[in-house]
Amino acid sequence: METVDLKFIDSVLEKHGGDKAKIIAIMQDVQEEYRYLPQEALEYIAKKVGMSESKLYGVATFYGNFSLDAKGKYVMKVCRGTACHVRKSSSILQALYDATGTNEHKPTSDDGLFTLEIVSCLGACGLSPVVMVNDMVHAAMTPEKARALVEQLREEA
Amino acid sequence: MVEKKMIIDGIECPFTDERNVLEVARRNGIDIPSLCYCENLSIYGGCRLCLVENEKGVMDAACSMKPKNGLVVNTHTKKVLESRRTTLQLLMSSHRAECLTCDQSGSCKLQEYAHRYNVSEPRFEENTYARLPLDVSSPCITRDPSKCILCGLCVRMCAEVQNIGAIDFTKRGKRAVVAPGFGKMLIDTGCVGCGQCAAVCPTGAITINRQIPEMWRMLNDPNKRVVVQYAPSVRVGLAEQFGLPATEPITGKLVTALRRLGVDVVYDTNLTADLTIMEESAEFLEKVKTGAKLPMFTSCCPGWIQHVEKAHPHLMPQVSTCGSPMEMFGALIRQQFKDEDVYSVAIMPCTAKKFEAQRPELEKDGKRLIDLVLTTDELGKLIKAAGIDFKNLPDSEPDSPLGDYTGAGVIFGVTGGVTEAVIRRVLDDASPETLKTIAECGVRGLEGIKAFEVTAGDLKLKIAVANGLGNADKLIAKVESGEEYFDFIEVMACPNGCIGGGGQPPASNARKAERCQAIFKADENCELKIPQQNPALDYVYDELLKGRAHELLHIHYPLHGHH
Repeated sequence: METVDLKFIDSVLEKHGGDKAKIIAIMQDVQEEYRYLPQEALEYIAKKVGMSESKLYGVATFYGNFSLDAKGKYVMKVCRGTACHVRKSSSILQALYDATGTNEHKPTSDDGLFTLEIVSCLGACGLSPVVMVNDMVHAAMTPEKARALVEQLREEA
Repeated sequence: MVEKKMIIDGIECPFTDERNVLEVARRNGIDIPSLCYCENLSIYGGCRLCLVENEKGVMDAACSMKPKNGLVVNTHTKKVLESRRTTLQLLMSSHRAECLTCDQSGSCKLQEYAHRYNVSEPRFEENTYARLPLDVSSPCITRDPSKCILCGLCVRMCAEVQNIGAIDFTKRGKRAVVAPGFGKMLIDTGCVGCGQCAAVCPTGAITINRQIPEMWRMLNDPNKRVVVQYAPSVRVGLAEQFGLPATEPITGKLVTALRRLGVDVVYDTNLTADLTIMEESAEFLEKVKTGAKLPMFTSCCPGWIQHVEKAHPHLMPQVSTCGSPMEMFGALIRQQFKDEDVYSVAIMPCTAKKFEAQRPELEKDGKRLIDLVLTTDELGKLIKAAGIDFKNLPDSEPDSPLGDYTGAGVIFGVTGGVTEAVIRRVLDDASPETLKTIAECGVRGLEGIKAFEVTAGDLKLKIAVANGLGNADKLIAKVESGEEYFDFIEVMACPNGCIGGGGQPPASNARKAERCQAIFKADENCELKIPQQNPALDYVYDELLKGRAHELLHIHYPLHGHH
């Protein structure tokens, strides 16, 4: 696990004026840097903005977009919305689980490369079934394409 | 001004500044059920049990409805009753009901309403309660998420009144649970064990740790000499458990009940409240004389001590080193019964005392000063279990030679009491005029923060009194910013002081006001008013403490620093 650079957290807090009303924006910035919210960072932020740890943890765990677990280098969002579902996104999900060595209860691969997330809709139903890897959308997926994608990302890493 | 009225269930209900329809109804003798509302906390409107129906057939929560002149609502229409039943069934479908063995059974509001609204069987088959382990990390309270109905009263109490926020709503939807952050245990949070969360919990999701079986074991052990002390506030909290008003003087019955339980020696903590004042006022005057950093903070309240340690560690050197009255009596008991196998028990209005008693600093000569702390509530249960007809007990007196006390000790039970006792000691004048002047100097009353000035000889003292840790924090902020200056600050962690302690039977504000009255009544009934009049003190200092007063009566917690 990476260690948290408190100077970076300070810079984020400064950017938002240390205002607890902007706690979500603060956490978004921290998550962008670490790809998740390290506990150490949240405890530090709670103290700095004058919010109880439990309250901040409550906000962080309320929103699905925030993660308190370290994520892989590639976060794969597999859409299981209606349109993707009818175009067999379940088989794509299974192919990705198998190819990355992850499952429903263990979303991050042992090598720390991949994290699989199930999302309800990415708003790209016309391109279904869709998988999003970090900021990149992969359209009209098939299990074969999914496996190839994993291979390709492994090589790039 | 025109009198404002609303019509509830066809009854004209006058109102003034009530914050919602729920309060108007209750003040007019109509009990609308609610699980998430408390008069001292912000309004949440989450439990939906207090729904009432208006003339148009629209239902809304009475806790979130502003009273309006001419407003008409009904509290038990067919629609309302059906809605309430459904709400209760839904709550029960995710509540682990083990009512036979639950500590809250009998005082559980969910249980009460389930009976009241005839919810006879579960409507939803699979119970989806939170399958999470108990949090037994705190020596004071236990958290059981499987019984939590997410009313949020504890969350608001801890954040709004105590300014701690040890627990909050975490996660979401069916996974939502009230818990500390990051899966921590209570002991690793800012929790000070004040028990106010348990006092407002409508179910058994947060309960006070009970140690009644331990007490029975000791009472039934012929080799143990069980010595019990009871705190000032116990006498105004216990009566309610036997259907008596708080103002009923029951101290004599309390002593008799303890003896009938098999207690060998009974003492009134009031004596060491007097002793605390002797020590604390000497410490304070010394600090004033030597120009030590002021304000000096009081030290009787274990919740406050922990709060300083956890939230304001740098202030600890300014906290008095006097042990609490409980600690001091513990020390006297060990000296009085030196070589005997004594089991030292304290009956307290307080849950944090359970923590205090087990602190290593409360060991002297290698022995714990207090072996067990029971709350007022636990004592009531013990008396009932022994089949004692409390109401009709004759009176008796605590044992001598440590049985004497003055009114200054009694008033420790209410916010401002310690300060008033200190002033009585410092002015050193027991005349009715002086006592009246002290009583009217601003020290009395249940306000959260009181500030006033007292002149003692050529000393002009600025004093503040806070109850509830949120109020203490506000006061500290003012002192630290330089906005205000005080020489002496009294803090009690629980709202209204020990009369409203977490170990007392939970009570409304009106009930707490009665307890406050009862404390001052008990003071009036004492012949002696100022601590230095206590005839037992000579015996305490000369025979028991024999030059070890400072060693045995003062507690140096690590953060007190070097002395």
